[in-house]
Amino acid sequence: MPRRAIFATTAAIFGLVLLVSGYARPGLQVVGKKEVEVRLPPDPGMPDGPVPAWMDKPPTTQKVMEDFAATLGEQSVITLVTMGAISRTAGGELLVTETKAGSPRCPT
Amino acid sequence: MAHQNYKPPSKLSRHRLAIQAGFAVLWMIPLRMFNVCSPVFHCYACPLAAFACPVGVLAQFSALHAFPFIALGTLGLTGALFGGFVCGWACPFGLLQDLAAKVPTPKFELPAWAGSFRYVVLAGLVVAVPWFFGETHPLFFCRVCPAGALEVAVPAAVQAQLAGQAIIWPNALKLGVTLAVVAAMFFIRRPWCGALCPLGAIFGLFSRISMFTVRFFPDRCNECGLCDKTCAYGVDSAVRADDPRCIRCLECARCKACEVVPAWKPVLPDDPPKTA
Repeated sequence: MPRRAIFATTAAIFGLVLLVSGYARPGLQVVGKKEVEVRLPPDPGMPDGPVPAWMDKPPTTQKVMEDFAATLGEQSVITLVTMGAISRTAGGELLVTETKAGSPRCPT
Repeated sequence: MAHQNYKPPSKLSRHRLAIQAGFAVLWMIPLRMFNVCSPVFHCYACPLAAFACPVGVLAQFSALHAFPFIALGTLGLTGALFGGFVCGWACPFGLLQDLAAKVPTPKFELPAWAGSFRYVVLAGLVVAVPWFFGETHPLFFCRVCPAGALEVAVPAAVQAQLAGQAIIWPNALKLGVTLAVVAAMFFIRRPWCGALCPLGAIFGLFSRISMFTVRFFPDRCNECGLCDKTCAYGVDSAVRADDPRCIRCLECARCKACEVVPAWKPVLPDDPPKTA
């Protein structure tokens, strides 16, 4: 078999392995999502369960929001508020699941 | 001796434009299957995008510091099999440039070294800028991509106009790049592919090993210069098979000294040339 054919076949198999393993592995694929969990200390001002809107919370939560902003960046906090991706664990910790899309949906 | 080596173009060659148009339709069926990467340069924010754009995925994954298994797998598999054929036969942005080149204007050739800029764009705007500065940086590739401007901004502008809303224009840099590329399309054949396309740079890496290539047979050459004259991209016939700039348009295959040869076929010096 010519050397070029060997190289081409090897590269094609390598590409196929990458492709298959990309679909086989969990999490971020082509335009999937990447999730980052951030745990912050309990905050007595927070209700149990999902937190839909930060701005309406008592002043104690403002501090938590600032902590989030310092940790994730202000834009992320706004996104998280919109998504309602903040919840409280059984231990009282605030659990943030930061979700990033693997696709630039608005390149303009 | 004048063009004694001429042979009629193959049926495939004669219908290249139709094949390109067919592929363009395929990429623009609004299937919205963004978990699949296409191997061509086509913005997936376009309302008619069927699959994800590999360059956009590479840039975005670089920003996320994640390994783009599927995008690289798709490009590796396609590149190893077809190499530059993808650029010449399947890329919708290539089709657009080929159509623009049909306008009878004076044509200029890009110097060979201009092809190196593609690697600068790939390494800088697709990998390094997203990796170090994230997707919000103004030089993040998708923020300057002319395909994105043409395929997203234009439909969005029409849509906004029809709905009576304010038109959202692309940022100044993106608009500038797009206008420059569009203007260049009329005076240079495939200016984007020849000097800036990061996807072409990736497929160029496969030019030495792809399964199908255009091979030059020196023993059949009578130095009539036909193959060089037919090449619109200024690629030297003697190195065409391995030149990263070659888009495998097969125009040179009108000469008996050039022929598409699969990698598995051993090339013998006295192989007779194929005719159409």
